[in-house]
Amino acid sequence: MNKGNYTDAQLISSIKEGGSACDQAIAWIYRKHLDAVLSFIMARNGSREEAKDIFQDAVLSLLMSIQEGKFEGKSSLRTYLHAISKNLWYRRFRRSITADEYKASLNKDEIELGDPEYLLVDQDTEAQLQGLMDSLKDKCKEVLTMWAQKYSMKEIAEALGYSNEQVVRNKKNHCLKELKELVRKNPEVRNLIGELLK
Amino acid sequence: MAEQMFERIEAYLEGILPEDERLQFESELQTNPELKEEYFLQKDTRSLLKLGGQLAFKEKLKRIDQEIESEAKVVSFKKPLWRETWFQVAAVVLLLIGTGYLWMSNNYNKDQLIQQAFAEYNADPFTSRGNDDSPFAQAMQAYNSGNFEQASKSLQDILDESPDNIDAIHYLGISLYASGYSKEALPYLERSADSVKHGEAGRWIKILACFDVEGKDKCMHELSLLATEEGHPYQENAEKLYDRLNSVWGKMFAK
Repeated sequence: MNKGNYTDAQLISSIKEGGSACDQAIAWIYRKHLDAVLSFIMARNGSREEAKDIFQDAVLSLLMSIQEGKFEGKSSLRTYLHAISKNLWYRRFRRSITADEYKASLNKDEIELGDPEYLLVDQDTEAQLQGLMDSLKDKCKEVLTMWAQKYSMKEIAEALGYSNEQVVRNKKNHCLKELKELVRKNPEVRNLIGELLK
Repeated sequence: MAEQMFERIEAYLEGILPEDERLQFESELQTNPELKEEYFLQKDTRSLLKLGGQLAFKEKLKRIDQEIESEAKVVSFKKPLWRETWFQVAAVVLLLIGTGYLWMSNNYNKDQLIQQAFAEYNADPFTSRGNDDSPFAQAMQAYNSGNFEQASKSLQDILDESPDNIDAIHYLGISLYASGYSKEALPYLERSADSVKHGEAGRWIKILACFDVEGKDKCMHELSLLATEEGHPYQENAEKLYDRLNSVWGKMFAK
């Protein structure tokens, strides 16, 4: 990294690494590209809040695509983010354009994008999943949430005050078992996960 | 037994089972209904967590957005000093009535302004939750209490063991700078500025240290680049220092 002008390769590598390196990279990407997406959506009569919601989902989609190995850097991060934002905008708020315009926009930008709404969940689903997570004790929730975001065992130990990485590893396994039992007792949540991952 | 099965499935899902055990596991999945049921349940649980991670991540994005909004509010109230008519008139008068006096007083003012910029940066201490008693945590206790010389020593010890520890590199650079060893700090700040984790803050402190070591023009150039870099978290700090230093030196540097 130099002078704050990060290359796509550096950003992708940091996002793959997860944890605080990923946080830094995503914060940088967010600040760098927010204005362009806001301008695009607000110029099409979208509200500032709608535009931010779209952009946040686009950043999240980028994160998932990189961490899942679905984004290989054939297009630039900027191109990807803008195309995803545009597609999400047209999908959610396409009342403002004609069907032909919508179709043309998708055809134009979907090269190597895949499905931009991959794993993005609606608010009802979000509430159900959150409810199950909330059944866990706070410490378990914290450990598992950080682990799910690919923080290293060392980072989790430092952030949550555990004495070493092995303690975190044991705690993570203990908490994961608890969550597994919760999922076992809630078949509807399991069905929901199955639907989302289809 | 259940414990062993859990850990075996976990190792498989993490991709850390040796090849022969992985093949054995996959073979058993076809023939052992209990293992199969537990495997898919565990896989679904991890998928649920992945979704939970996404939700937590969206919250982070909202926090970043709030930071940007609050920074924008501060900027909107600010009019650069050099754009004020009274300031332009005053600067011309000052230049006319005593360039010599102005030059003599400049060094004191420059140092004061840079120290103030560092004090503003340093107002937010390094925070770490919990009761960590690692060498790094102890070094950061010294750092947070303003004992930068002790922090430098402890961080150097950590680097002797782990030369690529970017946290130690970053805070050693700052501690050396804060102790008055700007020249010694620069190599560490260079590495910090090149890192993902501390790149933004590392670059900012590196510029401050530059004024103690390098020529004015070079440092002002670096400062002006940061001052115009929209979206950088220290852009506003850089812009403020740039304007103030210009007013002290009585000369406009092209941005």
